[in-house]
Amino acid sequence: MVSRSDREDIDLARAALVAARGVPGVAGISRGRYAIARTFGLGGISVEGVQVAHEPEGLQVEVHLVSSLVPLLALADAVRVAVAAALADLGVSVTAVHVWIEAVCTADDARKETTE
Amino acid sequence: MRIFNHLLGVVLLAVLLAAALVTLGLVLGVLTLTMVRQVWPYAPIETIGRDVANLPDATRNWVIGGSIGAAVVTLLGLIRELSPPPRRARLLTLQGSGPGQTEISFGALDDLAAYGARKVAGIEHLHARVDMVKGRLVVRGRALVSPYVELATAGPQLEQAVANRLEQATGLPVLTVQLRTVVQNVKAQRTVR
Repeated sequence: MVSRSDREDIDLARAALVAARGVPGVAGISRGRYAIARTFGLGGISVEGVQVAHEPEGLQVEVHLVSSLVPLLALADAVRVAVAAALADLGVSVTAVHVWIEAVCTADDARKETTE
Repeated sequence: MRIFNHLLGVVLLAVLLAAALVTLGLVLGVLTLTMVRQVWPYAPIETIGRDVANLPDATRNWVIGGSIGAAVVTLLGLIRELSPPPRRARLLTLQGSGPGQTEISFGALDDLAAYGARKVAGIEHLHARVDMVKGRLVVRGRALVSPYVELATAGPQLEQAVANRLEQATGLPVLTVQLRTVVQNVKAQRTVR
């Protein structure tokens, strides 16, 4: 396994973000409704919507997302699997992926938001 | 109207509480007729005050008990009237499989209910509030309905659509859907879906 110093948190957050975005039913990534979820990297860069935490029990990832009108539990499980697989590809094992569904929207609404 | 009703309730309860306390004070001898007259120099009040202050022994205990009871009841009513409504939790935790939690904001559930209402023809807008009661969802809200819709059929359809949408999305049972319908003005702009 790769140690923490070998992989920066920002890389892990980016990988988790891409993986979560690719899950069907995820309409977008949210910054967080009550507090901004963000992972910081060197040079002032950050990834919003994903938070990586190194807890005593292992690496935990928090993903804040906007969902389409789909069954939310199944979606959360799919996100969990996708994020864990993406980070495993980087040689990092995740103990938990917390999924926060901040908002829901239809595919039309999501399309409108991306074009605006 | 709701605020006016609240204010009216508070004033009424405060007056009843004051009456109960003054009665108690007069009967127990804590207050005198002169003190009451100073606060409210009004002849009928003076007459009532004199009657209450000079009660026969047989009725005195009943009046003390009654005024204590009335004071307690009105005090409880005042506390209830003045205390803020219970706050809703921000997030609902769903029990999924796999390591990690699934949290959904109640705001998102409100939106979900509103999306459910879109399926029903003639429903212009739904403002819903979803709460959790003993592991089941409770929906309350107000729906703006087109004037050309038959409410007798649209109402149950709307409730069913909202309940179905929430149940499908969260996997949690919906206990009740209580929606108040407001018929839209005939001249108002309507949504075309």
